[in-house]
Amino acid sequence: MIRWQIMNPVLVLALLLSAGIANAQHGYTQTEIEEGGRQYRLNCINCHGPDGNLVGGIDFGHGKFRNAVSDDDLINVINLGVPGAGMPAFEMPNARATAIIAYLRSLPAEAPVASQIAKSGDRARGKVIFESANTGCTQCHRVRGTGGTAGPDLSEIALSKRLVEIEMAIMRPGPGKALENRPVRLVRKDGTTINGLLLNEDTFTVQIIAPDGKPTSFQRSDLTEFSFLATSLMPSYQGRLPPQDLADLIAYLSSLKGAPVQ
Amino acid sequence: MNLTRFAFIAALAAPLCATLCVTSAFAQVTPERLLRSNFEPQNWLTYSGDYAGRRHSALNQINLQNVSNLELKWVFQAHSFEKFEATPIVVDGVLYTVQAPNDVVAMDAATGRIFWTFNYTPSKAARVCCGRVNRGVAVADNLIFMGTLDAHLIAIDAKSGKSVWNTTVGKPELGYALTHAPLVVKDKVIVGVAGGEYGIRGYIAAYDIHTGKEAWKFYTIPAAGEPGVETWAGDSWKHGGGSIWVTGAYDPALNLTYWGVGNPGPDWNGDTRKGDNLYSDSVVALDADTGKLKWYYQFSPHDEFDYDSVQVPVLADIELQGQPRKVMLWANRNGMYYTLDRVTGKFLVGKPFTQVNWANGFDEAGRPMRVAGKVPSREGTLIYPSNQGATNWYSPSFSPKTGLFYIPAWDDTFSIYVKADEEYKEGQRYSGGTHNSSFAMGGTPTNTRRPEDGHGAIIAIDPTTGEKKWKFNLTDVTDAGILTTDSDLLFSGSREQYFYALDARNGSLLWKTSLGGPIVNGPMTYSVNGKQMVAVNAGNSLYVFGLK
Repeated sequence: MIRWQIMNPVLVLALLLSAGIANAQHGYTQTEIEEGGRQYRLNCINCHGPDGNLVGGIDFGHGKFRNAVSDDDLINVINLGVPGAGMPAFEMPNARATAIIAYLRSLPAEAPVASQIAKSGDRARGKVIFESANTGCTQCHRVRGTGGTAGPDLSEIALSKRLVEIEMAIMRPGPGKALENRPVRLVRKDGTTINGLLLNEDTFTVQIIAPDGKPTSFQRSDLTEFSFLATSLMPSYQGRLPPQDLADLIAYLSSLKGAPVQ
Repeated sequence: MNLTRFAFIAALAAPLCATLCVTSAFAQVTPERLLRSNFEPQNWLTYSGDYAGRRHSALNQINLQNVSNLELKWVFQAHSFEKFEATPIVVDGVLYTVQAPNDVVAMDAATGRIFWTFNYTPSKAARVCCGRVNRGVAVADNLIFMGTLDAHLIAIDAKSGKSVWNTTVGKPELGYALTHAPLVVKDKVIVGVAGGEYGIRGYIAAYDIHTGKEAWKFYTIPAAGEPGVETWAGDSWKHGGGSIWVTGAYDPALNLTYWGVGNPGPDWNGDTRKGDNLYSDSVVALDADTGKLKWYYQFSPHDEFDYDSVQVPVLADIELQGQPRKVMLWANRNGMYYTLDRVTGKFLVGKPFTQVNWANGFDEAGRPMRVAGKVPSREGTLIYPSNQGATNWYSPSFSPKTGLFYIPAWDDTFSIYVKADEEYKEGQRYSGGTHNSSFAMGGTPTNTRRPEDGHGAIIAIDPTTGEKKWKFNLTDVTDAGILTTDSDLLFSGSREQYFYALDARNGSLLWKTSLGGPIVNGPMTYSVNGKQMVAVNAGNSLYVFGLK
């Protein structure tokens, strides 16, 4: 009889608590919903938009679908497409399609108050706020070629973030669960410490956005430390913006959908 | 540990061959040549390089000292955006590979110049779970054999590239497909069907190499009245899965051909198929002439985690507990390493090579002891290793020089399994739930993984004990197989686009290059005009390296 040590039970509990809590209505886990959000942004957002309401007659946030009722119906729509309606077939594993459905089912019908205000916010005024020295947004963020590069480029932020997510990112920035743009700390052999945002890494190299905003690559063999930071490099704007300014800023950011097509 | 007799002779012959063997016109590939493939290491005649499935070459011109002088000799860019999973074969200076999904390309192994292309468009009825891929061809006589996505087996004239015969193996509209490289044994070409996510009933079948006529068929899921059907509740055996999608091995002395069998269906909910579900997730040993079952060993009874046992069976002759043993080495998707007696199927060694939480040991017969509650649930259950497994179809390697077994591993990855009710519907996916994994199949152009998601690795195992001898960590997981050579080199790749060489004795990095695309296949080596080459696919291209 051969036995071996199974995994650390504390880690199991932590993972279950963080990832395995089911969505009450449909039985989806938080991890599935997060993965579904990622897949939605990769596959669906260009046509359906960040709030899932850009195609006529469809509004994912309010559970409005044209050709589907059940989850099985939705899997079929994803896998087979809707001929003649512009919906292509996305051949993908069931788990991926199910994750997307988990995300769609998780979309709240109504966004929080600030986001609701943002729907009627003044985009032009929001742009001024974004570019003002008072907020300092453009010190790190860039929109259509203007601004800093130490933080993520926001030119297409509305394609990947919903109103409520934009609001949360401003009010309570954190290292986030997203894999992209995670704050990291590098220490070189000469003792220099560099904090930046992770772009990519592999077995031999690491790529980050350095504090000067420049994409920079490092050989791991030149580093004595490479670690993830527990806090975001972005300051919180909680209490720093009047509600209307916040609404206008969100309205502006939620209008950023990439360069206009000529 | 002793060298195998074959490997020993091949090791002596290799330096001589490397200098004297030159490109010659394609000669007929007789059964004897396939049996003695180790005596002509300039060629690579089967998917795994030999019948033993070792992916090990006696070539040694490229060695520990000069491997850093490798340079690119030529590139073949496939006209395909599918994953490039094929291992080429090389026969007397001609390289054959498959451009996904089903075009066979013959080219000059020295230059990459194309001799001919056999184009085949599979039926639109074909459906596959995980990519329109093909893993390579087989050769015998003057024929090249390819299985197709729409479950046909085609024999192609090796010289002209024209079809000689085309046999229907299964119904594509029901999910049956052929994705692996066939295996030729004597006068038969053997294939098995994929489709484990579509409720197929899997089988392995042999066809006459000259006529395409079926010689025998072995169902991986027994039917009513057959031994083993009692391990399936009710009629669940009818759609029990048990697919075959990676090439098997062959022991000429025992006349047994060994095949790894895929997962039972539906994947993640076993409620309707209570029982062990034989012969899913097993290795089966079949008489090569008749297809009769000689023995089986089931790695994951009543699997609900999609732990296909489709790994290449690796055959070795080693000394175990003071006795010479004919064994089979197996690193399973379920996270465990096994050494089995390949004469009888007896369980000899079993040990996890990564974090495993669904079992906590083996009983005396080698049956895994399950951990209570570690099954898919409606609310989600955390399981190590992940659905993609601690390893998968990526070829491992055994080096008779080092005596070590090398595994392309996904270390410490996990999945949360959620089960759901699902009824079988013809031709539709039949998975019984879903999962969310720390790493997904496929990958992304950039890797910004979380450390807690796990990572890839090359792990060297002592097959006499199952103990790890060394480990080479990768940041991302890996879909690349492993090649070893008599000069103690180990070649492998990664999702990170690197192709690299390690010292097979200790895992130290000797050489690396970036090829600009993920490596989703196993490297191989051959010699042409007296010069050893190493070939690997990355992205959509085949890259061939040689010494400067």
